[in-house]
Amino acid sequence: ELVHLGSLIMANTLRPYLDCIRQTLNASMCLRNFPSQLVERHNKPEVESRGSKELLLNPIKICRNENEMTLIEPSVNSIRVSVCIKQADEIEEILTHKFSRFLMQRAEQFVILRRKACDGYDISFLVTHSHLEQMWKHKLVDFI
Amino acid sequence: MADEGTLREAIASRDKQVTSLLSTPPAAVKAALTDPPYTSESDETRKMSAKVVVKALVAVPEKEIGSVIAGLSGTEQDLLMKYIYRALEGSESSQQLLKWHAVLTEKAGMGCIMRALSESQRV
Repeated sequence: ELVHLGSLIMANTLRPYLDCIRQTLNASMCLRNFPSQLVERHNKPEVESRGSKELLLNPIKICRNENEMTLIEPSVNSIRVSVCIKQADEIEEILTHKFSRFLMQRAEQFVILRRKACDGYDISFLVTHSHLEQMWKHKLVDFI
Repeated sequence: MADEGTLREAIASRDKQVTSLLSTPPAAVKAALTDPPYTSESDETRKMSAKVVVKALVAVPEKEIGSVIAGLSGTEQDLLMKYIYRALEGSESSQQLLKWHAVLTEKAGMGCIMRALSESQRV
């Protein structure tokens, strides 16, 4: 994983960052089925459609430094996690770009990956309540 | 609705209080956690407020973080968690803030994070 490759030297400073993300994800992955309030018989991830403000929770941004940050946007039935990966120079930038494009083109296989990363971030995940019903929460958090 | 001016004055006076208390870390942290700017409309005011709290947190040596947190009430711990997340949005002092986050989660539990996520009163 690029993050680990790039920070092998700083491995002990990466740990608290990842632990913080893990705890926050654990707390925010409390999702339940919630049909759309705006359109009858529709069931959309609220974090994407953003129709009703009361269904969205406070977004949390965890920055390790200017280049590495994670944005967690929770809501009642879905959560969006966007990650900015450290890119030290142009080569790493190109590598990250290619790698994330590779992953995102196969987003269907990954189920929780989002086809397009959110603005300003390198990769995004969308986890909905149906994913949590099929998969173990702690495994999902480990994966992310 | 207090306007930005009065809020910023309150933050400035809180800042002075914290600076004077920096020699006794637990008191400085408690002072920094009083009177959060819940009604503020401006991002700048909230950032100033977070800076005051970070100043108090950074002054606490690592071994005492646990005891300082144990001395805070439940509401203060929730407020501290909200401030930690607000301060983590900037990229300064992230190492110490992440350390505080780990210890605070251990002591206050998942509920603290959940309240920071769901309460409409944002710091």
